[in-house]
Order: sequence, then C-alpha cells, then structure tokens
Amino acid sequence: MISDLEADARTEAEAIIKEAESQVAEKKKYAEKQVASLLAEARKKVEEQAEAIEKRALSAADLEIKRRAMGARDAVMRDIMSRVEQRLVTLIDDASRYRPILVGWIAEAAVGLGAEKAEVNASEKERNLIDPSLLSEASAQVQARINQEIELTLSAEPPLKSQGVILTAADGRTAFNNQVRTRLQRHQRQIRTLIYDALFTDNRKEQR
Amino acid sequence: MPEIRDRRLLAGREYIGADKIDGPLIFVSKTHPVGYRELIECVDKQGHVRLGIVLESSTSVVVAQVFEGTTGLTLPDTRVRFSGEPPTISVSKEMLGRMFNGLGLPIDGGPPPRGDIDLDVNGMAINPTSRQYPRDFIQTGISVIDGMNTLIRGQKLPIFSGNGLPHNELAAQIARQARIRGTATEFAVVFAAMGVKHDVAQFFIRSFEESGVLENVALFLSLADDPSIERLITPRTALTLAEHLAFNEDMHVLVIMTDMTNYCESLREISTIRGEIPSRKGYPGYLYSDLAELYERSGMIKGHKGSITSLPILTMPNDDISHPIPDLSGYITEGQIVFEREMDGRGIYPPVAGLPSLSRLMKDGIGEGMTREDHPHLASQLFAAYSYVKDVRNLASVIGEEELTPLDHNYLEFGKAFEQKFVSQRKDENRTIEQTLDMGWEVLRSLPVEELHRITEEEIEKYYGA
Repeated sequence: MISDLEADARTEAEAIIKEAESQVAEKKKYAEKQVASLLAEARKKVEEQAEAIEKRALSAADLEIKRRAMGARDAVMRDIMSRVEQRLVTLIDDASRYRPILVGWIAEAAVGLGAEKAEVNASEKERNLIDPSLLSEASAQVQARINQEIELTLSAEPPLKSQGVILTAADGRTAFNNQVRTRLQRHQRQIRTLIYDALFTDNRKEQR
Repeated sequence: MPEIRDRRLLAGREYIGADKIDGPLIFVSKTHPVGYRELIECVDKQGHVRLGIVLESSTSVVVAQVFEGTTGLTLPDTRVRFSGEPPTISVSKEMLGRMFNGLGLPIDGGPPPRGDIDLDVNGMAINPTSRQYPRDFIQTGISVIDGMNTLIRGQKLPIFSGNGLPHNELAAQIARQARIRGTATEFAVVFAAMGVKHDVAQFFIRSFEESGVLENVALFLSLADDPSIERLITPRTALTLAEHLAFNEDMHVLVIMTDMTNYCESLREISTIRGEIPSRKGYPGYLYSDLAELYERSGMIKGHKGSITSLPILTMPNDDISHPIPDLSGYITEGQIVFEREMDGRGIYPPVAGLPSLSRLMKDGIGEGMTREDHPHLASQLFAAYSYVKDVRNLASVIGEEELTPLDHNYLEFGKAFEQKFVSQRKDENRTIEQTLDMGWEVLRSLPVEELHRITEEEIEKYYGA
C-alpha cells in the first residue's frame, strides 16, 4: 500500500515538475520574445531619433551656409553702394564734370515736383556751383522734357548736410528730394538687380 | 499741369503736412491722381519711413492706412510719398528658412533676400476655370483627419478652434508630418502669424527647428505687440510667396495662417475708423469678400505642377460657430476641422469634434488607388455610429445608463473606444493611413456585425473579422 502511495506521489510529483518545467519554458520563451520585441522597439526608436538628429543637424547646417552666403553677398552689395556714394562725393570738386550732373538732378526733381515755381537747396559745396545760368539750364531741360516752364531760385534755407538737391514748391506744399542717398534708395531694387546679375548670376544658377 | 510719364519721378514727390491723422489712418488733400491700394511712404520728422496703403482716393482727399501705426507722426511735419504702384514683394526660393515681418522685411538679422520677381501682394483669386480639381490625398498622420476629414492637396481646410485649445499643436504636427504618399516632391511651409503672442511664434519656430524642416519654412510674423494694422497685409505677403513657390517653382506649399480672428478684428478696427456702416457684430459688410480674397488664392492650377494647400486657424469667440468669422469662412473653404472644448477637457488630443468637422473634397481623394478600398465605407460607418453614440449619450443623461438596451451599451463602448483609441493620439505620433483604417476597424468591433449597414459583405469578411 505504501509503495503504491509512493508511486502515485512520485507520478504526481513528476507531472507537477513536468508542468512546472513546461511553464518555465513557456515563460522563458515569452520573456525572450518580449525582450526581443522591446529591443527591436528600442532599436527602432534610437534609429528614428538618430535620423531626426541627423536631419535637424543637416537642416541647421544648410541654413547656416545659406545665411552666410547671403551675408557675404550683402556685404559686397553694401560695399559697392558706399563706393558709388564716395565716388559721387569726389566728383563735386571737378566742377566741369559735376555741373551737368547737378543740372540733370535739378531738372529731374523739377519734373517730379510739377510746380511752376520752386526753390532749390543743396549742400554748401554744391550751392557754390549753382548760379542763375545753371538754374536756367535746368529750366530749359524741364521745358524740353515736359513742355512746361518752371521758375527756379536758390533757397534761402540753410544748406543741406548731404550731397544732392531738394526742390520745394513755392507754396511749400510739395517737395522733391533728389539727394544722392534718396536717389540710390529710390532705385535700390534696380541697382541691386544689376549688381546681382553681374556678380552672382552664375552662383545662383548653380544653386538651383 | 502736364502728365508726368515717368511714374518713378512722381514717386519722389513729397506732400508736406497731412490734413488729418485718425488712428492708423492719414488724410492728405490736393494730391496728384493716386491709385487705390497704392503703396505710400510716410516720413516723420526724424526721417524714419513708414509704409502704408491707400484705402480711398478722390480728387479732393486721399485716405491711407499706415502699417506701422501713426504714433509720433505730427500733422505739419509728416511727409507723404505715393509710390505709384501697389505694395510689392521681391520673392524667391531664398526666402525659405527666413523670418520676415508682416510687410516681408527680414527680422532674423539677415540681409534682404534677392528676389527673382516682384509681385503685387494683393494678388488675385485663382480663376475658377483654370483651377485643377484637387484629388491627391495628403497623409497627415493624424487618424481623425486622415480617416474622417481627409486633407487633399490644394484644399483650404480651416481649423475652427477656441482660446486655449491645442490648435497650434495640431497645425505644427500637420506641418511636420504631412506628406503625399509615394511621391518625393519638393515641399514648403509658409507660416503667417497675425496678432499671436511671442510664445506661440516661438512654439512654431522650435517645432520646425526640431523636426529639421525649418529650411523649408518661411515665417511671416506680425505679433501681438506689432501694430494691428500690419495684420491686414501679413497673410497677403505670405500668400504672395506661396504663389511664387507653387506656380513658378513647382513646389507643394502648405500655408498656415493663424489667427484669422485677429485679422478680422483689425479689419473691423479699420472699418470703424473709416466710418463704414457696420454689419454683423460690427464687422464690415465686405468681410466675406475680403476673406475670400485670401482663401481663394489657394488651390491647384491647370498646367502647373505645384499647389497651395491652406490651413487657416481661427479661434471662435465664445466657441460660437455661428459667429461671422467661422460662419463666413465655412462658406468659402472646403470643409472645416472643429475643436470641441469638452473633448479637450477629457484629455483627448486632438479634440476634433467628429460630427461638425468635414472635408468636402474627401470623397474624391480616398478609396482604391488613393488610400484603401474600404476607406469611404469605413469613414461613413464610423461617422454614422458615432452620431448614434451622441444620441445614446443624450438618452443616458435623461433615463440613466442602466436603463439602456444592450445594443446601446455596445454603442457607448464603441464611442469610448472611438474617442480614446481612434481620435486620441500622441502629439508626436505619426500614423500611416493603413494604421488609421485598421484602428477604425478595431473600434468598430465593439458593435455587432448587424449594425454595420454602410459596409459591404466583402469588406466585413476581409477586415471586420481580421
């Protein structure tokens, strides 16, 4: 009887051990699977993060290159503009060359102003060049361009600080600023386009 | 007075002294003939130039609005120049990766970009006869949009939101994740901020930076502390660049405009100062046509490869969808994504209300060959079932949940699963359309098969039992 009981107990114990072993194996398998899936997920996440970091870094670098290139071009542009201004300033001392330029600026301002009487003001050096004959030359140019008579006189106002002329209508209602800096600003877009086309067009084509 | 042929010379003529300054408006009398919407330059006593635009022009007086405001301008010392042309912007691809103010001037410390072409910022609505019907599906990675309110390339789909709701997060997520399936096309994002706070602008910049797309983004910022009048020109400037990129550079452009409500407020402010007869809630009678001028610049044009897809964001005052701004926007755009505050309160992101949200172009961009063959029926079934959920919830609030039938309980379960699994997703979660549709089938399994009236037998066999 005892040996029977022992045998039963052994069988039962073996069955329990077997079941336990199978459960352990199953759990191990499940755990391994989970670890693998977690690893794969982590790897995927790391890859994604690395990709995102790479993308961000490349984008930032591209942007910086673009910024620096634009900065360099702008510096060249500003340098050219300031050289133009300086060159015009030195021209004042050469009265024979500067006189027709001044006449042209006054006539242009008079056309833009559209008044019948106007006062002309300019910097001190330029005012020395403005005499009645220069003003009548400018009036004649206006007459030729728009077939309108204009009476020009030198302004009694204090001289301007920078180069160029300002015409003010006799009634004080309108004015035309034809100073060098304002002129350059007015035509800035066209000037910039000219410079860009002359200096950077090939680069731009390559960039595209 | 003879006519001056050279308009550039007229642009140099200065009128000394203004007749009246009223808010952002400046009145100048006895000028030469000036055009409507002509650009003006106001020079103050210190020589600082401010830009503006002509609103009214007659033989006696010209009324113009100054974008940077009139603070500091005095009547006798203000000089006004009329440029003889509308406000223009020099546009080019170089503008991508840069930040500009509402007038298109750089504010990132960099030099002005070299433009390829000068364009009038007022632009023009796309001619209806030259429009190409939009059909290409844009995958945003957001289930409730891709599955239920599909965004189509060239569509104008506004987000109707409310103060404090996560519309900015959603817009940024769309901008980060949006892509056309199976095509490697050049894309760009043009972002226009009107009257938003610095933190909102920073949020977008950071979001674009972190996702590495900033080099494809042009930002036009007219923030809350900028003159309100500048907000009126900001979306126009942004859309002008978008048009150039789309129709001259063949790029696919996503335009995000936030917050359109601030834009409309500025419009109302100007209208009131001009003494115009107010219409609904004090907005001008031309609010509809003004909004249409902006929205109708989006789309696709026959013969052009590029497109403009527009995502205007507007916050509904008091969450009122019948307010003139959402109401009129809804008439012009091709659907809307509506946010629900109650869903946001329950922590659902994005809190997109299922029933009032709609994409009118969805039907032409989904299905076999575009997304998946079951998409149209699945979306219809989800909509119908969710609609019934709303009825059941109302009923339950009256008679109590325990009195509901077992079927109604199934619907409640479906509603919960729909909102928490299908609608709700992480802010960085990018789901493919297949994942979205599979998710749709998963939530539909809360319902017995007899309830799926809008789905074919084959689809049920293929997807419901899977």
